[in-house]
This record gives sequence, C-alpha cells and structure tokens, in this order.
Amino acid sequence: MRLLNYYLEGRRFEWLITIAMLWLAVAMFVSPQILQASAFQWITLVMSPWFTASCLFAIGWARLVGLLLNGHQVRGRRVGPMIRAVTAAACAVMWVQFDLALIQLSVNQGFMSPGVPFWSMFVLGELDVAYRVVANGRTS
Amino acid sequence: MEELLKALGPWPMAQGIVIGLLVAAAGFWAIRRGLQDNQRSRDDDNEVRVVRIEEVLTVRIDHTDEEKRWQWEAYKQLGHIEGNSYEVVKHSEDSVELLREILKSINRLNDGRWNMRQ
Repeated sequence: MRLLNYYLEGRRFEWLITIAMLWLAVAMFVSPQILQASAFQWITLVMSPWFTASCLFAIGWARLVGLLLNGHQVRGRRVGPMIRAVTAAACAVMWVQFDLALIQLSVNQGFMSPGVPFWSMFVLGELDVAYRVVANGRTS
Repeated sequence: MEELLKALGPWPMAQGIVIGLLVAAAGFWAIRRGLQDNQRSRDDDNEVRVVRIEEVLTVRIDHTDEEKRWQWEAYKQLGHIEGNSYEVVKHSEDSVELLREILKSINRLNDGRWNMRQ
C-alpha cells in the first residue's frame, strides 16, 4: 500500500488520463471505426484513426514512463517531472482536437454537444498539470 | 481570433493546426512559468523544499507474562475495594440506625425521670 501511495500521491489525475489514453489507443488499434462512428468523426478529417491511435499510444507511454520515474535522477537531474510536463502539454493539444471535433458537430447540429464542457476542461486541466509538475517538484 | 477561426472554417485541418499550435504555445508558457517559479522558490529558501507526508502509526503494547499477572492482581484488588465500599455503606447505615435507637432510649430515660419528678 505504501508503494502504491508513493506513486499515486499528488498525481491521480495524471494516472487516470494515462490509463484512459492507453486504453483508447489499444481499442482503436483493435477497432479503427471507433472514431468514425462516434461524435468525434470530425477528427478523422484531419487525422487517420491509425495516426490518432499511434499518437495516443506514444504520448500515453511516455507519460507512464514519466510517472514511474518519480524521483529518479538521470545524470543528476530529475527527468520525471519534465517528461510529465511535456506530455501534459502534448495531451492538451490532443484534447483540443477532440474538443474542436465536438464543437464542429455542435455547429452542424445547431446545439452544443454535451462533451464540449468536459473536453474543454480537460485541456485546461492538462495545462495546469504542466505548470504544477515543474513548479512544485517533489523531493522524494 | 474569432475572425481567424471563422476564416479557417472551410479548412478544418488548418483550424486544428492553428488551435493546436496556440495550445502548444500555452503549454510551453505554463512549463516555463513553472520552472521560473520553482527556481524563484529555491532562491528564496536557498534550499530544496521538503514535503512532509504525515504518517499515523498504530502501536500495539505486548505485556510480558509477569506484567499480565501484575495487571490481573491489580484488577482483583480493585474488585475487593469496590466490594468493600458497599460493605462500608451498609455498616454506616447500620451505625446510623443504632445511633437513632440510642437517642430514642435517652429520650425515654429523660421522659421517665421527668414523670417521676411530677
């Protein structure tokens, strides 16, 4: 339990998003039509499902590595927080594409899609994580 | 900004790229600001901040057999004292009754003496 707390303390949101990203990436590799048949179909106009899945997998994996590195030092520097901050910023860019897809859908259907507030807040949440991770670096 | 996005409406890819670049710039600014704040706090404190994580420990006391025997004896003595306290109360009540009887006897004697004088 102590080991679990060591990794989870103060970074639960990041763990949840990382698991969600990897889960969606694997699901999209298995069933590429997930995006095409959903409210996010507009994303497929600019990115193919394979490209989207690969981005999700790569960023999710990098984020997982950053979370597991925790306080380890590489050549005297703690690289975990920087990896987490950069992947958080990359995730913000990804979520804004999802958000744009829902906004485009909202414009087409004449009313707001219910996912727009959530994805917009995800973008802001990731930007906040990118700031907090490097500003409040843990020493343990 | 809105005019720019409306102008890019027919080209969703360009819209996505422009907004993506804007969010990436915001992310880069957030990281830079975080590093500056971290550096500023280190300069102010002149040392790395330490985060304290409080931990609650549960302690279990294991008595030796000798200590357990002493504890048992102590509880037995407490039981005796409790029993004795009830006895003390009963004896006190009996004493009060006896004193009342003595008082009555003294009153009867005095009444007899007064009657004899009459």
